[in-house]
Amino acid sequence: MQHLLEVDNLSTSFFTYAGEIRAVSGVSFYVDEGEALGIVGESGCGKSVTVKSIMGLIPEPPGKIIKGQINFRGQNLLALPEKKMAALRGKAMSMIFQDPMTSLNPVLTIGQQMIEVLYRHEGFGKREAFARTAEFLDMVGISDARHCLKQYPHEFSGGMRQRVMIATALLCQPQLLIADEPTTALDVTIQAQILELLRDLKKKVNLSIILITHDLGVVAGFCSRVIVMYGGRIVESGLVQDIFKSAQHPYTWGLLRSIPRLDNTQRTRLIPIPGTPPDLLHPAPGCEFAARCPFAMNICNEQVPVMRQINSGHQAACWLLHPQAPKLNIAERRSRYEGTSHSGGRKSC
Amino acid sequence: MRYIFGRIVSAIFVVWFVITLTFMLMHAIPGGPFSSEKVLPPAIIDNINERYHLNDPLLKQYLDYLKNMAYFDFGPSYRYQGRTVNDLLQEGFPKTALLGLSATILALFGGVAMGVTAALKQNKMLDYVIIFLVTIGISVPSFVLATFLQYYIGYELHWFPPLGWGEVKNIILPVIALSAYPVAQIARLTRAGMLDVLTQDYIRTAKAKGLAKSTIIIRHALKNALTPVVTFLGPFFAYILTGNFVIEYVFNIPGIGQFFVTSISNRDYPVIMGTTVLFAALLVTFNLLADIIYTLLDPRIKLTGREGA
Repeated sequence: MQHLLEVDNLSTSFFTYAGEIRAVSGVSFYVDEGEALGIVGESGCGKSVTVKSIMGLIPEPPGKIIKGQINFRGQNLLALPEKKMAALRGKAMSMIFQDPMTSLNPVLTIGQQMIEVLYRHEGFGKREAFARTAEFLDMVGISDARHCLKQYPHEFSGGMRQRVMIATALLCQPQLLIADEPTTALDVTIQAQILELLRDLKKKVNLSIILITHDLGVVAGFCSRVIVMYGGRIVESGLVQDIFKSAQHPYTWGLLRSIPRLDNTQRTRLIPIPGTPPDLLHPAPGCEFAARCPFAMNICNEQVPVMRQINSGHQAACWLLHPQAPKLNIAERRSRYEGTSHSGGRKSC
Repeated sequence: MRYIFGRIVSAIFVVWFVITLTFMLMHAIPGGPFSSEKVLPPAIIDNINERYHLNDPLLKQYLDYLKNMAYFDFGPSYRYQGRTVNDLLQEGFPKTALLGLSATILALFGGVAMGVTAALKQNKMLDYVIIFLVTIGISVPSFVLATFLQYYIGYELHWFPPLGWGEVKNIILPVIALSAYPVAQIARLTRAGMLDVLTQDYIRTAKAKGLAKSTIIIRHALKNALTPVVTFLGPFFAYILTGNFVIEYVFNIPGIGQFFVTSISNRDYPVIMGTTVLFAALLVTFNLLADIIYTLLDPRIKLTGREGA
């Protein structure tokens, strides 16, 4: 079966005065129709750059997609001229952003900002566009749509604005919605509402969603598959249950251990991953995570680990998975992590 | 609406204040309208002074002037025999207004166009060319530029007449000289505004919506980028009004500016007053206009006259 979206060996760099920053190197994944894929990882791991590359939103210069292929409905997006790309954006695939406070234009009304999408992509008349807009606002839970359309973004709360962003993104009934940390800037109760809304909409309109987040808890409830990124590469990917039950990469272990647990009644400290994020200006010759990894071996600092299949759909890139690597048991994992949690990792300059 | 009404009331107050201040200062200058003439018998001077009520107490003169002002009667000119100040203003104002308006239009459209172009071509050749022109426009005073244009374009190249008034080709050089500075300022402000706005999240959103590039620039970016330009409108109008004096003088255009300058050395009291009041009124009006444009551009600004309301 052909995938809706297939990203193959994508590399995107930013060329700054300091040098080339390899934001994304050799990332491959796919999204099927009606599927929700989660991309997790810490800030600066290349999640956003990956999806912006898909949307064609990498500012060029300084950014540049160095190599790779992005196939959307069998069409290589990277070979498309900008005009055709613009015709796809907002129509076949659309995107919502992290900060709804700044993502809407302050000097245009909500109505103007929504309806222009329909004018652009669907060639709707005024009445038609108005009706569709009101319908979608209603769908995302904004009841007094007619009134809202005349209001300006500053008259809306953050949650309301994100709802407007979602309604706008869905106006042309796209097949793919990319949500770049849609709840990060919202407070917790609103976060839950927005996720609930996205889950509803996904069912209603058979939408494929790529959800970017650094919150594994969100992924668990929302996605069927997860990609874990670190330092511009995919370190592990698999079904949600694979990642949560039998994660193979030490970075994923670290991520899982740093989730706060509600059922933990004792006041224990969260366990952070020690060290600092990798310096993508000076990529390490081996595994980027080696400097922070309590299980690092000599080879980890010398060669980039290859992606290994664990079972169908579950794969990870770690030297520990090499047949010659020492086998670790759960207890050993735990003790090693605790031993290192206060020491610093590789220093970045 | 209430705000605008309040502003109009305060504008009238400002104009009144300008009248009073000018009146005082004018009379504080030594000498009178007829003291620089060749020596006249004291009786005649006395007669003339009597005729123009210049022997009245200052307070009475002032009150009389205010009373006439209320009927828009600026009185007779002392220097131009048999003509009233109203006549002079009517004669000169259209020329001044045409010059000022042309310069304003050129400054706004030219400046914004240059600024947007420079921002879109940031750090490319065109951007550097525009920045170079902007730097010249800001740093070269208008009278220097005017003389330069007169000499090279007018006298040496004969493209446009270096002096005079009456034909369309006469207006080209003065308008360029007058608008060079505001064009440069507006271009600079627009460029900075655009560069700032183009990195905003809502521009990224507009791109993600697949809008055409022209729509993004004009509809989403420009409206936001023009806010600093509107801030400049107040000083800009003041510049156009005062700049007119110089330009009219250099190009020998019979506008109000000419009357204004000569009236002071002539101690032609009513003309001084008339021109000052007119300019004060215009400036106050334009400033009010600039504030209203603000609200049209940015819905977050509300003219309520109260803090935080």
